[in-house]
Amino acid sequence: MIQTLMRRSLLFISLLLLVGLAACQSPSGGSSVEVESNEQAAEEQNDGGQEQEASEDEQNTLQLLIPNYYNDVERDQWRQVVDRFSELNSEIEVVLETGDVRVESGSLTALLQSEVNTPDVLLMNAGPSRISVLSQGELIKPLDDIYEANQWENAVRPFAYDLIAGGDHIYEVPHMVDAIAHFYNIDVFEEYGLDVPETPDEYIEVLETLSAESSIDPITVGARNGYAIGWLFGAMLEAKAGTEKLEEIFFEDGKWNDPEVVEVATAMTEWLDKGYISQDAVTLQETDSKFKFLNKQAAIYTGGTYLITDLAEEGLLDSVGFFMAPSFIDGEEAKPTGGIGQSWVVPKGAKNQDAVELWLEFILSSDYAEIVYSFPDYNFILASTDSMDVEPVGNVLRAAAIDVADGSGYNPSVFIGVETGEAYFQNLQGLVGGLTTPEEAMNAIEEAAQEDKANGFQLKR
Amino acid sequence: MNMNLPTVNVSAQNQNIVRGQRNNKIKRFAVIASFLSPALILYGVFMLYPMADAVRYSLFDWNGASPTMNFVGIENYARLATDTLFFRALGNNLLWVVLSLTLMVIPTLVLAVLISKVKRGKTFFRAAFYLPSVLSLAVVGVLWSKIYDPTMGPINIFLRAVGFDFMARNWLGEQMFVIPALVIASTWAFYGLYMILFLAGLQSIEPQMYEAADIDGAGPIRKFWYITVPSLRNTMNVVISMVIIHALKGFALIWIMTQGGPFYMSEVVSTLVYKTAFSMNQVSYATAQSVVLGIIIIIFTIGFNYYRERTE
Repeated sequence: MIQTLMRRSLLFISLLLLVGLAACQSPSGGSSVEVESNEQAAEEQNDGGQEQEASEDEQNTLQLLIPNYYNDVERDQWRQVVDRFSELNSEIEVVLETGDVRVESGSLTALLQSEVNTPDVLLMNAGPSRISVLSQGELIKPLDDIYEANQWENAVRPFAYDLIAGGDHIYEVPHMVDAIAHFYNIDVFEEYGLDVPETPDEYIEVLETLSAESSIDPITVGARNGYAIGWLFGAMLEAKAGTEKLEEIFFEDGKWNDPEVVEVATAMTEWLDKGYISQDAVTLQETDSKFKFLNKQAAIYTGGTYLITDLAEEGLLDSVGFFMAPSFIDGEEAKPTGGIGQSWVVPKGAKNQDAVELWLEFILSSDYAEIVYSFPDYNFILASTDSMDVEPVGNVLRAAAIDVADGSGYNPSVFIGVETGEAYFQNLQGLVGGLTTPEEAMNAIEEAAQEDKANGFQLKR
Repeated sequence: MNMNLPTVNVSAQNQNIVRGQRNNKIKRFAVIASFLSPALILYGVFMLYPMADAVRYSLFDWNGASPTMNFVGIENYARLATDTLFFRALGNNLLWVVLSLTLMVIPTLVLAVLISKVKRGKTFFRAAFYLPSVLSLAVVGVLWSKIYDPTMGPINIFLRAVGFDFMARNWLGEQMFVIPALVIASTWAFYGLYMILFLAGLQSIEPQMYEAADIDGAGPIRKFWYITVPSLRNTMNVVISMVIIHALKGFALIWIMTQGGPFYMSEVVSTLVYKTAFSMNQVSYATAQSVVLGIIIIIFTIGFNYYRERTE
């Protein structure tokens, strides 16, 4: 009796343990078990046909993961791109999925670590600190062999290639290069009799004229999102301190608390005091400032060409222009800031290597450039060399592409280490919120940069 | 030989008794184990194991993605001891606790008492005041961000309309106001829950006590302080514990409304942990921060309950 009771108790506890362990197992564990049992069944039936069919299906499927669509315009564009690829490669079935591909949110690393539904290739926000998290974690494959076999060194714009080839291995295929500068409402400029400024004096005059109008913000920025205030400050740095100063900071021994950089930070606070930058910047999110601009409550918005699809959706493509602030340094020309905006990477668990190569080759081809640049609402400047011979149909993108044809300035956000990035965003917020001084802010960013250096973060060219 | 027989029988009987007692013990243990084991196993697997694992991670240097982890001992904790940002975040958490307790406990109790006195439409008021609690914190965050909007927000519009322009503020952008503004939004989101707890507690108070107080000539304030408040002691303890725990580990609303900004002004430990882990890829260091926060919450809760038991 007792023995039976004990046996039952033990059985019950064992069952519970089993359930607990099964629940704790990673989903990948579960799925691999399923595959194994399928294979076993196939073997038992002595029918290798099914297995081969499944393997062939896998070989013929290309699973892509791209960032979530911001709007329907992007959705349509990607559908057409995939259709074209499928036309060219009818034997490959493309499965296009969207998701959160930001390293910062932890979603991407979690996805790749779980090895569940691993895409064959994915498009992610680029930048040295983001890619290095994945490469150091051995979550993505080095692509040196593919680069060498396909001679992609020449297929990527030299400016973009230089940015990715400084390390021991190449892990990414640049998809697009950023061009971050000022968008302006043409109607608003016309209403106040303003032209696109070509000199620093004209630029300040434009801001002064606009700041005199209470109904409009000269420059709107949503500083609650660090990257957005980073775009504006990056553009100011490019215009006032110049590309070389930033190169010194990123690649050599330049400092964030260099007097020239502090001067730019001081200018930012002065622009706030004078009303050139809207006072509510510190409370706004990037989307808030974007809608202020789209609703013509602000004259100038600083951002990348991503805005184009929003402009298309709102029917504003013809009423918005794009320009870079003129350089404040004698004899120099300021370029839109940027770097590599998005890159393709291949997860370690990618299955269909051949299809991946075909896809990346397609992305780098003039065929792809011709397709996407024929959309008047396309919003990326492609990183491929072939795309340089193709002219975008859209006015704004065409203007931006010309500006960065020989390379862009630097958007610091994507060239700095993780400690510096956090300090950069917070201190810029502090600046526009009047919560810190320019000197303190730049000292704090430099302090964080030193920590990053101590942790081994150093960009190479 | 014969003389030994009874001894053998006694010994056998004793052995049987001992065996029987042992069997009874085993039986009792088996019964207890079969009742306790489901909860214990689930608790162990889903609570104790992750907590122990978090402590383990905090002793390594790991970025959350790398297949290798370097053992660094208590280095993460030593770094924490000199991290001014962590202490700033902790300070904000404590400010949050104080403001939450002030804005949450007594006002929700008063509200519950008022609703309990309502003769008609009690259900309506209960449902209406509880409504914010069913909203997702994401919705609450967006809603209050708009309410605090310096240009278009109703607070500033009202202040300007009545001529108090000087009081119109950048509520989420100024050092003095950002935490109080967030606490008010948080209070709005949670007061319905605490109000329901108080209402449930109020229903358990014997009405004869109020009748006796009425006969003795006690007014409403005296009845509140000398009958209602002491009778709700247990409910209040639960509410205070919940408010403290929520204030120390709150994340969603702050993340949606300010992301810890501007310039760390609303940074609390949970937002700092998130940034450290996912923006800065320092998972081990973030885990050390979480462990310390967890210990602080445990100390607060145990301390409060100890105080409560001593004063009862």
